[in-house]
Amino acid sequence: MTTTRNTKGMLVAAVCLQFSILIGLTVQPVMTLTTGKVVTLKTLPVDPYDMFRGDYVRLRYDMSNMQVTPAPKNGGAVYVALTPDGEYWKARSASSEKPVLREGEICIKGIAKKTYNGFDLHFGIEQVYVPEKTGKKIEQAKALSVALAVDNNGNAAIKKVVNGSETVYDADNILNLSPQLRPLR
Amino acid sequence: MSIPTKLNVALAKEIESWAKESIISDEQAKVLLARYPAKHGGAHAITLVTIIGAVLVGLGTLLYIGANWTGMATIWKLTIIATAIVASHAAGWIFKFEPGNRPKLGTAFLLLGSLFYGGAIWLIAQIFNIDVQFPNGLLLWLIGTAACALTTRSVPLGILASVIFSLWTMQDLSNWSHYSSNDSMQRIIGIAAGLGAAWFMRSQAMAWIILLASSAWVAFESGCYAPGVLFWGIALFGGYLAIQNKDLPLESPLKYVGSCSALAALLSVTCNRMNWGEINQTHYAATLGAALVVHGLLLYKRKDVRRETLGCLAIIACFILVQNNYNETVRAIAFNAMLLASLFALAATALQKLHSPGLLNTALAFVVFDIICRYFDIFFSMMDRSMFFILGGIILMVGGALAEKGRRQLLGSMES
Repeated sequence: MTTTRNTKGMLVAAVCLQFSILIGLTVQPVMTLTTGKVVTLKTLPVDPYDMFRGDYVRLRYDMSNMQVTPAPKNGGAVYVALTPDGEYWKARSASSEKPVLREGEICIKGIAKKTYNGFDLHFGIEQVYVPEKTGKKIEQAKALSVALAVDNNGNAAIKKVVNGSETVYDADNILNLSPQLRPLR
Repeated sequence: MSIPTKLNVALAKEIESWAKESIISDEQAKVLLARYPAKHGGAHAITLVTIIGAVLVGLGTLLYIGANWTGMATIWKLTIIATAIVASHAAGWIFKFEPGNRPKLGTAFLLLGSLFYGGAIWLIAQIFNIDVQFPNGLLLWLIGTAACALTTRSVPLGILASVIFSLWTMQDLSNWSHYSSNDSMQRIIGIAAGLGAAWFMRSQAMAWIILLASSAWVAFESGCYAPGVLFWGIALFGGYLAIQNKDLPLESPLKYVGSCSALAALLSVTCNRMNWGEINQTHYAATLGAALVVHGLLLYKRKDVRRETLGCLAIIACFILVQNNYNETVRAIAFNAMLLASLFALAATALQKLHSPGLLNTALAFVVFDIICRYFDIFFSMMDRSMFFILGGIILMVGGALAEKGRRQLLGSMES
């Protein structure tokens, strides 16, 4: 009887661990989306579709293959200083150490992954899921821009993706009880 | 003592016939039957059907949520999946552990709960646009599932955790040069923890899955190529020597995965003669260290397997010496000699000391593979294609017949 009670307690603890992991996954992007400063970047869409999870668009940014000084470790943190440039923001510098920011600048944090000819910088904003059968159209978009929420620690989350004048993804819908997003025509 | 279902059924029939023929008394028959209680052969099939049912329900639910994601608010999707996780685990608990219920159905519900948990991770990744490769997603799924498996000691859950472990170790990281030291450490700890879990749960199936996945990772993803596979195989074989004849679930997987990995590595270096790329030094050192530690401990603790341990250490030493020799002819001769010596030593040990027909068969199978490789090496560019295949076929047929004759003689001498 005691053994059964112990097993029950341990199973409850294991399920609690599962929920802690799920909540842990959710907290940071929600905090970033709700408290982060919004910056808008130009982006380039590439090869969408994930067999198991439907349409998505992979996004590539100018800062994704910037030269990093001093050179980062493989898998190490990188910091990119973003500076406003008219309607959009652009990357000023990339460093493996936290940069000294100028007035009005913001810092975004990423990870450096070694490639054959240098490093690819990943910021966790390289893809966006879109309604079914809309990925192909977005892939061909000429003027795609992404509004990012960036918190004080440099964590970023995608807040909005705009194709020309059309919003194709809006994170404000995440906690709404009924989704507002309309599929592209 | 637990014996396989087929043997159990056969034994029950035998005991009944012995009693009928008055070889044993009815009382003795009852005592023997009580010692080996009847098992029902259909039990595994029922478990399998129930588990397949749970997997289908889990997949169906996840596909439903995935397919309807534009039509369903995020908060509802999360609520549904959270409820499903709790309900499945609760039902699993009630059916598996509460008195008078159905443990197999309970196991199926627990499995379903962990599938829903995995689905929830990917759903959250989808909602917040987390990277499509998402290596940590599989790791988080593995941690949650392993926790449930270890607490309930449910083997199907353990097998699910082992399969997730395999996916995690083998997922596409494009190239080992993408590995950070953190990635390496995660995988090395994962392999050790997986083997520990298989040991704890006494599950041979888990041990097989984890060892095969680990060996595949060492061979194809770790970037230490044939040397790493050789050291890894020798380390596993050392593990087998340490636990042999103790009726432990890790014994067979360690024996066969270890010996096959080591022999396959030696065979591969005799074929392509070191055509591997730049070696990942961290993983090379880790596999070499594992082999040296295991065999060092064996040398210190187990005098009965000293000869085998010294043989394994000699292979490692010879390989390192030959690997750093830049004369191609010397390397080719030395690697072939090492392979033949290893095959002979393994066959002799299997025959004389370990009394293992399986290991003897493994050694003989690699003799055949070696003959095929050498035949291709020597004659492929020398002969007309038709002659090449005709002659090759004849050699294989004769070689196979001789090998089978030799194998039977060796097995016969082992039994006698």
